Amino acid sequence: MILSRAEIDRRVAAGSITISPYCPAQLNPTSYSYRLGLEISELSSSDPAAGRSDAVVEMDEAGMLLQPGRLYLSHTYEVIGSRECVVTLMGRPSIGRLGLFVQLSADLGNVGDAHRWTLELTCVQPIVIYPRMLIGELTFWETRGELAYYSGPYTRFSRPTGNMRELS
Amino acid sequence: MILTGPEIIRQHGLGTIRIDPFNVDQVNPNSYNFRLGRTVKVYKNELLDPKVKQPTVSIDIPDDGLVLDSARIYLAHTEEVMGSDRFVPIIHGRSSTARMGLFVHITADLIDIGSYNQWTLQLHAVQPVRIFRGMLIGQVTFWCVEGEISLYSGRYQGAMGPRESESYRDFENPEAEAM
Repeated sequence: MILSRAEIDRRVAAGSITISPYCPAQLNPTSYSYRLGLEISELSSSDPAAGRSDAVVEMDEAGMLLQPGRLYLSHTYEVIGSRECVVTLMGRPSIGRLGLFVQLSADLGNVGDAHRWTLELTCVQPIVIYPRMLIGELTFWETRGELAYYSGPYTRFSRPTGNMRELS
Repeated sequence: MILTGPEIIRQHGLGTIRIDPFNVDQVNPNSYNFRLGRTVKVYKNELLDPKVKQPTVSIDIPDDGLVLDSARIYLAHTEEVMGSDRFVPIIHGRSSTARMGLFVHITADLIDIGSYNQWTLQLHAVQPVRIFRGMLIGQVTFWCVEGEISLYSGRYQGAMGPRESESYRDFENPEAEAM
C-alpha cells in the first residue's frame, strides 16, 4: 500500500517518517516533493574497481549547467528516512518533462536510518539546475513481514557519494 | 497492493478506474497497455532552463511514423484519458518498447490520484527509434492507498495532448503549493 498525503503527514508528526526540513505545502496526493541539495560532483570514472576522486563542489546560486552524456551526483536537501516504511525516490513530472533523469533505474530505498540521499542526475538536452529547486518526489510504502534495517556504507554519508564497492 | 488484470476490469466497470477508450484485449495479468496518441512536442531551444517557460513545436506523427533523435526529449501523450479517485496509477514502459531502448517516461512514473488526463509521456530514445501513432507503447499499474485520500488539483489537471513542463511556476512563488 502507498501512503496518502494525510498518512505521510501523520507519520512525520508521529516520528516514524523523517523528512527534515519538512514543509506541508510540499505534500502531494500520495507523495512529498523534495528539493535539490547544495553540492554536486561530476563522475570522472565509471570503473567500480577504481578509487573515487570526484571533486564535490558547491553549486552556484545562479545555476549550474549540466551536459548530456555525463553523470552528476548530487543529493537531497532534506534528511529523509523511515524505520517503518519503504521510501522510493523519483523526479518530479515537471523535471522529467525537461529531460532530466533524477534517478537512474535504482529508485528503491532501504528501510533504516535517515540521511540525505544521493541523486544520480543525467540529462537528454543541456539543462540548468539550481540549488534548493523542487526536483523530485518521495513515495512511502507499507511493508509486510519482520523488519531488518539497512546498515550498509551509504547511511554514513549525507553528501553526494559515489560507488562504494571498495567498502562493501 | 497492486490490482490484478481481472480487478482492473471490475473496477473499470464500477467506474472507480477511468480508461477511455477501454479495450479488454489490452488488459495484462496485473496492468493495462496504453496507446500512443497522435501529437508530439519538442522544445525549440536546445538549452533548457527550468526557471523560464520553454517554447515548443507540435508535430503530428505521420502515417509512416516518426524517427526519434537520441539528442532530444519528446513529449508525447496517451491516446486514452485515464485516472482514478481510489487507486494510484504508475506508468511503465512495455518490455517490447524498452528492448528498443525507448524510455516512455523520464524519472517520474507516479500519476497523482484524482488526476484525469491524456497522460504526457516523456520519450527518450537511446538509439534512433521509429514510433507510430496508436502503437501499444506502455502500461499502467494501479495501487491501493493507505490513509485518507485527497485528490489532485494541480497544474496539469484535464490536459489533452502533450503538456510541456511548467517547472518555472515553482520559481515564481517557491513557498507556494508544490504541485
